[in-house]
Amino acid sequence: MIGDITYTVPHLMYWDWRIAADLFIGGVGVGAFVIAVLNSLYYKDKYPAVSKIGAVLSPILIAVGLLFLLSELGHPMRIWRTVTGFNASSPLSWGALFQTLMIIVGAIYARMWLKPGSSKAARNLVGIMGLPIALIVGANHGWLLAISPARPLWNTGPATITAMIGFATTGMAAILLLLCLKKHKAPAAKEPSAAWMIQDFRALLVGALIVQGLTFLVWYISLNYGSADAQAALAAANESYGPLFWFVGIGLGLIVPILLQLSEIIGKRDTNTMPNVPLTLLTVVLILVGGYVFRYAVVMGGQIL
Amino acid sequence: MSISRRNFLKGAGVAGAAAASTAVPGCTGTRETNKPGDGPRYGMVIDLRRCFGCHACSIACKAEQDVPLGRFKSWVNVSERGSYPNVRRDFLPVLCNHCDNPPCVSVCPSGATWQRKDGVVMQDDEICIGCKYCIQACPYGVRYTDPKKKSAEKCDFCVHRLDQGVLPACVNTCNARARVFGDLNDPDSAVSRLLASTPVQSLRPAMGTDPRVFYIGLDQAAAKPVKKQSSLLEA
Ligand code: SF4
Ligand code: SF4
Repeated sequence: MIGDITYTVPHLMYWDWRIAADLFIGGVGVGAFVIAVLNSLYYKDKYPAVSKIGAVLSPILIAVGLLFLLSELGHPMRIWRTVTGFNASSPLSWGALFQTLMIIVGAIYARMWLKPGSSKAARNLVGIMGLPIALIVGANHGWLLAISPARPLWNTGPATITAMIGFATTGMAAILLLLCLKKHKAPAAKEPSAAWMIQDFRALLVGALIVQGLTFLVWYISLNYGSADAQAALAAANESYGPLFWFVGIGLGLIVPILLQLSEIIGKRDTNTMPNVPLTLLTVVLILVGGYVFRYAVVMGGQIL
Repeated sequence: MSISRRNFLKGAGVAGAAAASTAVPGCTGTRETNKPGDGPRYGMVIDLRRCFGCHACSIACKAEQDVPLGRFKSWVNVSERGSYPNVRRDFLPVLCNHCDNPPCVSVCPSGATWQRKDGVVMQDDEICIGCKYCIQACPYGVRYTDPKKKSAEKCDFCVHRLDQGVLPACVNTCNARARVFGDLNDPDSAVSRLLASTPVQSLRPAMGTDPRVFYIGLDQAAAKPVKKQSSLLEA
């Protein structure tokens, strides 16, 4: 006999792709809200389509994410127990509370964008009030996983930060996806066209993707050079989900989009030419697919040890 | 105090019931377990020098707790290590550690997992929403979901027996007498005397859970967490 063998009872994996779907879709919704509000405040409604799309997408996506979470529960009809048995030390209790609050605030904000003649000041106020809630929901998604020492792959600070930045990039990608699908007007048109918004937002997207990559690197280093438990958890996750994670989650979802958009930024110094819409479309689809695969691999891989 | 395996908890039934009545399931307030003098705090010592891996405890638990097929509340890991001729085989009985700082209680969003004053970590099927967060939070992999009840389950030290002054089924059935159970707050209890006289270890102390199941002769290398297979998804 060589090496170590342990004979034990079956040890199952209890969370499946639906948890990743909740984190991903809900996260895109949070990101879309933040981008909608910041766009409205920073660009002073220069690009109303961005804010409108983000505002409408946000509550819908967060609600869909919540549905995925409910479908994963053994007793979804008992969800009200999270209110009556509220546990202040449980990230899930806070998550349920703030995610519900986010849907309500997001729905009000979307309504204000859709209703003609609604006050801009009131809309901005609702948006500003929603921002901290969105950030809490975003952080909660990372904190939910990071809290448990029993799961060393998740149990690191950078996990939460990477998750939060992931929301911003995927939220932005979702908005850009819809912008790309809109009709594009000529550059000379009075109203700035979707294509021109893409131009402005691209640098922001590339910047956020690079920051996301760097925080991921910190996360990876903290595991790779961390405790024996962290190293073992990383190796175990890599063994089962490594190819999917590295090839799709990081390669196609992060590195290729950065390269594609950098080539577009470097190749087209003349800002008067139309941005390459199909290329942007490809970029955002890759970011979204990669974003989901990233979360899936982390949720599943983290349960192995 | 003389200890017999039949009536070891003489009087503890009353104490246990009193302890249980002060804690309310579904209410996740402060989680203070009894300090010495306040009442019992239950715990177990497993003497690995005595365990010979007969799995009687696993079977007794299955029968007593009606544990579904393919799931276990208490079992024995068997590990073989080394290269011939320097090989060794270890038996490691595993069950809920009824931690003093139980992460499963901290993360439960519904209050379904809670802790009695006597330290027993409980799980209430009627309240559990089946989120499985407690399963993710437990560093020892001792929780599972019941395929029929759809709620998270775990060992409860056989409280239905404890409250009647009877030992947990696994302790009662262990023919090597490797399991010693009792009140850690009572300096005269068998478990306290054993703890006072023999060095003990606990599983994964770095997790900060403060387990109340102790081992004599534990080799931490044999107590590594078990790797799950990605193909073994809960049905
Ligand atoms: S061993 Fe696991 S299930 Fe038992 S009390 Fe500790 S954390 Fe909870
Ligand atoms: S599965 Fe049940 S006991 Fe476990 S954390 Fe969720 S609600 Fe609590």
